[in-house]
Amino acid sequence: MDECLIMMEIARKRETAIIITTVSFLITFLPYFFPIPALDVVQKYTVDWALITSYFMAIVGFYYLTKVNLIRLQKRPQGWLYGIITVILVWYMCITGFAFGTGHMSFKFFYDAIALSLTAMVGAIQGFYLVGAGNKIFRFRDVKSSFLLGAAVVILLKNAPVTTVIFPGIQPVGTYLIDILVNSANRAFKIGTAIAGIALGIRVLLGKESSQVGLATEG
Amino acid sequence: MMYNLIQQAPMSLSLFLPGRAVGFTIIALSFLITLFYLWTKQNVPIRLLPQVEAMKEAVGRCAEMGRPLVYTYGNPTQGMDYWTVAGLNLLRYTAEEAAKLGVQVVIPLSATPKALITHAVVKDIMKNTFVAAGTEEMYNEANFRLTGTDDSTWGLAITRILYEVRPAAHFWLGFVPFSTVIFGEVCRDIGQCIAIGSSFYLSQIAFTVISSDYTFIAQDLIAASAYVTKDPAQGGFLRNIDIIVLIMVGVITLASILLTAGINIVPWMSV
Repeated sequence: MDECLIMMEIARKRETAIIITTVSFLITFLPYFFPIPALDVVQKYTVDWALITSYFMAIVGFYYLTKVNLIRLQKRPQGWLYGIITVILVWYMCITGFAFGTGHMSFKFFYDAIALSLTAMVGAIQGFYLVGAGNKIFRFRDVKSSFLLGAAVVILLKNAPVTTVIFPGIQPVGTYLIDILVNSANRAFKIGTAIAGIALGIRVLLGKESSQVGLATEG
Repeated sequence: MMYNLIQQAPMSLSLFLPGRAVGFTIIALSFLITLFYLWTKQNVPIRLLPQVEAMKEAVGRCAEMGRPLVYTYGNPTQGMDYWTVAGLNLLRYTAEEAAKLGVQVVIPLSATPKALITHAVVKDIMKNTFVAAGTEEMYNEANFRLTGTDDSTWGLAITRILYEVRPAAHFWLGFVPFSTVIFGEVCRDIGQCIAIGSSFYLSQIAFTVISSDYTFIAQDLIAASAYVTKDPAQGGFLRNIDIIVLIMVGVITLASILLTAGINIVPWMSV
């Protein structure tokens, strides 16, 4: 019993989490860059472990979702009924999925009828919001806003079939804006975010990112 | 002679697997820069962004109006990524200000399995901040609201929360998906609700800028996070990004000029 407690104490330590992270990192990182055949097999196993561990999160999520909503059922705050509907649907999907498989009608129907419809509805709602926001954006206020306005007009005309027939010159200008300018800006963003990812990884390895190991108050 | 040398780039350096040497060099350089800032404990000067100032004002406004604040740190479908880390650092800053002024902070939590690891961290941040400020009674579990999993249902759930609690300020800072473009409009509809958002999708920026009162565009969020934490590691993180990006811009510019002059150095970039 005491040994179990000691083991748990060690497992909960911040240093343990950092050591596991660093070793896992080295096992997956080194074979990617260097020809080390001995590490290739270990890397494959480590990646498989990571995948299996990530599926445990789904089980934790299922438990957590049920627990939170049952607590809401006891306290009955505003909107508690939505929580009950969520729990019923989650259990229904789990039971039918396990019992009949994910290809069965009873499983697919609820996903197609509810989840897909909701996603489509959000897309439709956003269309209206975007038109409203576009109405505010595309106005000539100053020189800077005129760039956005000009680009928007060109892209709108490029995508309208009639205008490209009437003004054939619009097509190459619009294509240039999308292929050259938008792509350049997009890649600059992507480079920045990739570097940020690397830098965060380094901080995690050095134990400087305390939130990664659930010790958010230390930083 | 020189031209021929450049054209005949080696297929790979024997130490590395083919095409991986440049990537490794960038990571190694990044590692060294971060280590340098950690060891020397140099504080990287970061200017105060107006958005951070506005966050403080928004919390004050919540206190004046007696209405809560809704803080959304995104839908971290990838787990603890850098946008989420920045969002959580800004959450700590917001919670500190809220604890001083007695403002309730409502936090929607994503139900995505990979986001579950953030739940404990968020609760930890809130609890410890309130305890440190001596306002432990302000910590309320009911302020953590579980939302949907995918981006659409997540956005809808937060919209419902916004209409329900009618906050005086809503911050959405972190790994925010496309559905956040509606948040600014919802805040306008609620009335007297300051909207401070962030965006890192190029196609989303214009809409977020126009619909919210203040916007953190892409790496503004990381800069703000470094500013509020005053942590040398965070400053080094930011400087690291700047230096590597500058090097990359230099290499891209040089390669473009040389390529125009008929000298192709691209094979050297993929050794």
